[in-house]
Amino acid sequence: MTYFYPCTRKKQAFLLALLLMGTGAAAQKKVFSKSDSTKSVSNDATERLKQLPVSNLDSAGYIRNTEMMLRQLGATSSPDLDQARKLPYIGINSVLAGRATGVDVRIPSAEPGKRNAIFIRGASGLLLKNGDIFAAQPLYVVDGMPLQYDHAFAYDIQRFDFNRIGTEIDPLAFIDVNDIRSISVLKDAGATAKYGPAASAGVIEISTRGPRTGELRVEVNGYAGLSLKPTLKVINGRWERDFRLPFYDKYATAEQYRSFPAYLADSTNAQYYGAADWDESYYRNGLMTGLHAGVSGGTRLASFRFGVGQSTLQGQDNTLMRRYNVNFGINITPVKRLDWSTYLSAGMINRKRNQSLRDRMGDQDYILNLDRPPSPNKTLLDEYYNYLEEGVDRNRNTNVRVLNNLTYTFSPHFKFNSRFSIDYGQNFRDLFIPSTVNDGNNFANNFDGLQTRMTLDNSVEFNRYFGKHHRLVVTAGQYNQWDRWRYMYGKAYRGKSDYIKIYQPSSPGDPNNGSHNLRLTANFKDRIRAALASFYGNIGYDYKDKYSVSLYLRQDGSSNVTEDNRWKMFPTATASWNISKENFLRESKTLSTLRLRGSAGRMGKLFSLDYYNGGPVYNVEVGWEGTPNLSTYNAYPVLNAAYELGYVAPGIGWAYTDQPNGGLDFGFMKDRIRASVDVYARTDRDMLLKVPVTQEYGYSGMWQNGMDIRNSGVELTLEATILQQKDLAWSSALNASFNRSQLLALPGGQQSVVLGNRRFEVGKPVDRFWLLQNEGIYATDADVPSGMTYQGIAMKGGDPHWVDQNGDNVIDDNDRIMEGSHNPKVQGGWANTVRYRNLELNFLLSYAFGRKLINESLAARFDFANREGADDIGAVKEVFYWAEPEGDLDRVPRYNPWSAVSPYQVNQTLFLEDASYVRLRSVTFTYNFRSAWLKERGMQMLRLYVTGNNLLTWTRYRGGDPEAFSYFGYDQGGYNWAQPKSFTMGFNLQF
Amino acid sequence: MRKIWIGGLVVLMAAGWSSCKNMLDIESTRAVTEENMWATKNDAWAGSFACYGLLRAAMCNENAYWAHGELRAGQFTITKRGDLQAVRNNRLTSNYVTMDTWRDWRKFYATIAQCNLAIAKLPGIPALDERYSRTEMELDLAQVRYIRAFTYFYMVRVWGDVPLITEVGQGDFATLPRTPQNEVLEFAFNEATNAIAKLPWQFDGTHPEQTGNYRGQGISHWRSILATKGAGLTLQAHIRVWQKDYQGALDIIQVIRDNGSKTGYNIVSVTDLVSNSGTFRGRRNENIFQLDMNFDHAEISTTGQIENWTLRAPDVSKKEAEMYVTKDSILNIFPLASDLRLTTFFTDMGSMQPMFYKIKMLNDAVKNPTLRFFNSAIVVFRYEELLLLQAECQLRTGNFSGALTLLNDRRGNRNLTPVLNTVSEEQLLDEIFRERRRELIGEGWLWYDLVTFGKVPEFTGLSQADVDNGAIYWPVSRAALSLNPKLIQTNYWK
Repeated sequence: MTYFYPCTRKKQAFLLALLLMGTGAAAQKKVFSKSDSTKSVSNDATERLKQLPVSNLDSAGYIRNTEMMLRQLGATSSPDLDQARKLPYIGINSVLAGRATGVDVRIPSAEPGKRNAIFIRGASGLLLKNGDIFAAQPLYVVDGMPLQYDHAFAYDIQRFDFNRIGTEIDPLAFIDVNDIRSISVLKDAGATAKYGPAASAGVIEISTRGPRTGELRVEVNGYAGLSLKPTLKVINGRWERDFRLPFYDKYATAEQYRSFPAYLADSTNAQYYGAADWDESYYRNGLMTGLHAGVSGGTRLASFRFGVGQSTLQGQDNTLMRRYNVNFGINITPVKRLDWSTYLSAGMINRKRNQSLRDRMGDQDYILNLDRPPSPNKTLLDEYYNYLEEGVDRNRNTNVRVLNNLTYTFSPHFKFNSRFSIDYGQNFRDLFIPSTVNDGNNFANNFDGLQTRMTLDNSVEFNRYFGKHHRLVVTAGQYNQWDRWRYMYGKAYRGKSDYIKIYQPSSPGDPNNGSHNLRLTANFKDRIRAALASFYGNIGYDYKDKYSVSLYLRQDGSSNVTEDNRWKMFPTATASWNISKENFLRESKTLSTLRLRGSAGRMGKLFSLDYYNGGPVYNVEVGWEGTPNLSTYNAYPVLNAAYELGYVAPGIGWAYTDQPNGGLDFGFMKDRIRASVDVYARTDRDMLLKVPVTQEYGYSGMWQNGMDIRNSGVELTLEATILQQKDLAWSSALNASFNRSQLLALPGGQQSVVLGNRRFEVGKPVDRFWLLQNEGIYATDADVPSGMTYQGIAMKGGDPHWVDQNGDNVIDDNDRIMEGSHNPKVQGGWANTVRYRNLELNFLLSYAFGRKLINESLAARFDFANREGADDIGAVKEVFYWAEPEGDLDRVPRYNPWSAVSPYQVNQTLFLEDASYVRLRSVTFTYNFRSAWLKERGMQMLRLYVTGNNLLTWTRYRGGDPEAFSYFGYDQGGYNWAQPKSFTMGFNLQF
Repeated sequence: MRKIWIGGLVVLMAAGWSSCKNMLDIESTRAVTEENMWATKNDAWAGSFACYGLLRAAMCNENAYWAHGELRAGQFTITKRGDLQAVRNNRLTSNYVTMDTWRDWRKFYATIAQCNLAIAKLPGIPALDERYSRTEMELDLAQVRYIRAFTYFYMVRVWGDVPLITEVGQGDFATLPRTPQNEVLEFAFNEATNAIAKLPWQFDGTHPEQTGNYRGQGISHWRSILATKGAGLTLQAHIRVWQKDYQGALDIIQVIRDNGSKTGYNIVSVTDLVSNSGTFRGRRNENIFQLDMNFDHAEISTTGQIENWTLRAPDVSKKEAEMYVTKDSILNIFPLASDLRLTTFFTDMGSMQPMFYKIKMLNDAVKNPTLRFFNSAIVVFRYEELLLLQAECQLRTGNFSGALTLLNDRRGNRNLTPVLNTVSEEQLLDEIFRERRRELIGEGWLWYDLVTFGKVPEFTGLSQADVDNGAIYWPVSRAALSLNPKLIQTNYWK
């Protein structure tokens, strides 16, 4: 099959192209320079720039094609970058937290440089495991170039679901905030449709500071600061013993007494009953620095910008992140009418990871001896760190991006644009764990991941005014995208010596040569390719800047969809009405802006895996729990129908997103008060889901189209310039996003499905925990209602009183309720800027209300009977075990921990807690030097600032930081690092 | 000049459009589609051996083989793990992740499904690939039939009535009710008959069913690892015993005994039984059928073997094993001090928790200090077991002296004094049971023996009424029940 044109609907596509071409004629020059009438005014970055003190306004350049790309329609939100630039943010996602409407930023651990996630208008799709986060991420677009995100497929060979093998470096950390001109979060179809199916989960559109015409200008930015060591209540074995003994006194049998852990039994043991001062080594005041310089300038025929930056961030547990990045951009006009831009960007990030036992055991897929936890003693922790120094843990990501854009202007109204980009990323890890800290067996592994994306976009554009007021813009184009992810992973157990930190397997015949026994090494190789081909056309009409409508049609073909369903047409329509330009409002003194916007569109959604395009598949799956990667039987390779992966239903088609969006923008008193409201309902339809099927055919489930999930909500922004005097100015911006999600349909008309420890029911939210409801404790056997069982086990005194929802005297899954969600009902931020003469104060409060979390680490503390010394990854104790558990211990009833009903299981309302919060995310004091003073010294801008981050938090949550929890709403205590309090000082200079 | 630029742009654009050509036809490198499978010899090899692999995976998954066959009988004492304790106490509806796994039959049905698939597809391959001869196909097919028969037998022992599915699923996942176990066993028996007809006694190239090297390897590579006539007959004998047709079983065992020269089956000394190159390494004449693990093939694992539950310091780095046999129980099970197994099956007898030391397959390459990769094969059938089964059948069919001789031969071999011919028939049956228990401890037999010898009430807290009510079976998993409304939970577990 050849796809020169879309193989289906060829005729329609052809007609569409004809229509688009035919209607195009003369164009109008101003089109690009004037702000688009459908743009939501209060979110407008340029508008905001106008509100800033003059000295802050920098005239950054740009990559020329971005003007074509960045014309925005529909619902967008732009964070105040000028403030964010002063803050010690490494990744883009941190910039957005509390600053952009409709964005939920998730940083499960503040480990420097570690991958995190954001969700725009709620998660699109079900999030059941860490690998699902990848595909739910929005598309990041830099200067019109869609970046390639990491792929989750390496999880396939892993036994534990926490870190993916590889570096786990934040793929968005390459972009230096100082190189960014603006960030927009595109949310509705009207704004995102132009980026095609990759953009169905929203778009983070970044425009960098590109080449600039004018005199040579140099900018230098720098900061340095400290993150503060937290204070916590450290404990030693005595605390833990005192905590456990009451349970023993009350419930334990002689046998259970006998298995009282030895390390707690002996109070003369200095290792566990000695000083608890591990925190002095584990935590530290972390240093953070950043330095960035840029040069730009040139003529109309050739201009450039060159930027270079470096930043360092230290964290607890000896972690560290260091980034170097270089950008170079050039705009030239080699011949008349041809604009050529090339932009090259390269970066490297090194990361020193945390040294938790759990992560190391995950890295080597091997559970070490768990008889005794690490000691709470500093000397022993230092010793552990020293031993690890003998090992190796190199994590390095490198990234190179090349963007090349050609624009040829045939006539004032007819343009051709061709854009080509390459995004190349490498992800490299080298690990060696010495035998001294690893039960006597060392471990080596290396991961070499490579990802490339190539895109090509060609388009023609016509612009024309009919008469004086009718404007028509027509675009037609074609887009191709090639993606490739691959990795090589090798691991080797038990090398001959700790001096040899690499591995060279022995030959099969002679296990004694080489550094490792061949049978104790394993190598994995995997790759995924995907391609996307699209044809698109847009027709926009505008009357007097009052009414505008646009229709965008796109035909997408994806290699991951079955051949019969490969091509699909996706339309998007947008309209806006600028009511304030109508005569009846034109004279209004109070209402300066009133605009009604609306968009509705259908966009494709890409599948991230390549399994689905050809019906049922065969795979190698003869491993089992704990041993997932066996591939042979008696040395012969095997291939079986993919029972574990699931039955891939034949004829899988596109999943897609329907999203209507309505918006209203207001401006009062010459836009001194601006407000905007957006209402949306984004429905992801026909998504793939592996639904459990009759087990007697061996399959773990069937992959099928047919899951529909709706995220609907309201977004509000309110901005006001409260004071605007010569010496004193005060502006304030408040944003709030409400989102709720709902499951609309499951494949095959099913009404509910249980996946893992969650239940999903049609008509109900998709993000609820599935919990047993606690109602105290059965103090004695007599208190237990007669015949009450827990899944057939008679309940006794000391067991939890769980509510028997259906009254059948049996507590089981039918008595679980869908309750609470880690997705807040409302979240947002409140930013304030107060300027007095040259002094400026800025602070940002961010908040989330209606969020509930499960305090899993507290549950684990109480569940010691099942976890003590168990040979299980869930039983691992880290050094941070030696801190008083965070949570309301008195609220938890003293159940019989040895009871077979597993009284301290995690999923019960007992551990569900409100985690709403308000946080003072940042405070900044800035001193702006007067421009006259600067001019005398040949400078354009100089400002000095001091910042404070995460200084105050108001929350009722007792389990620690309300923002530090896993992607699924479980607070795992010490594994979820809170974002530290920090102070920095820095400067921006331009001359 | 301008024309050059325009021309260039046109070329660029054309390049973009024409590159769509075939760009979307990307085949997965990670999975094979239906149309690319079952066409060549390699497909046949990989697809048929997957049946063995899946069966091994089902048995190893959370040590299901021992959870099903050993734990419930209660001879092992649990140290800490609540889930193991729950199995030991027959609380099989408890809420543990592992318990879900043991209740769940999906992985066994995956084996069945793969067998059904291979049985449907293998016959077509010789026509597509001339390198794959019909005889070789018949041989692979017979092995697959054997695995299907064995898997059904295994499932009947664990769950009782199970849905009998013998055809490839059509993607509609039609629900089927549980088939009465006798029907399933008859199917398994007949399948075994079909398999036996095409299987050799050994894969040594000297039998009409299999000539030359099988898949390029000689008998040393295949001994006791692949399905043979002997393995098929042993399976049939066990099916008959489970159905209480002792004469039927005896007749089958006799066939095996009569073909001793062809089977090569032999008894094993205690020393060889526990040695690192012994029974649990396998490929030996005392093994009739084993599911293989092998260090030299890197088929080793940290989970899935009984060692994971029974070994502790100094052999592996943990202070306490998950389970052990108490000293009292050991002395109760092995009352005679002369028993050679007493000192070889157990070690550290002086401690509170002696270590079960019969199976401890750690290759020298992972010792000192131990890297926990075990490589013990699951020995499904071995000759000693068959001989004791024969003794049982002889006794039950009235051949007292034959049974006594067989038993005393076994006892003598383990350095036990003979049972006198003055014992009653009942006592002799009990002695056979006790010898089986001693010989096969830790090999996943005791629970099934309790069932076939009718000793469940004696050894567990279950009453005869419970047994009659289906307590000897595992409950059907909640997942299976909820997905197939035609399944009805076993009475006892309702």
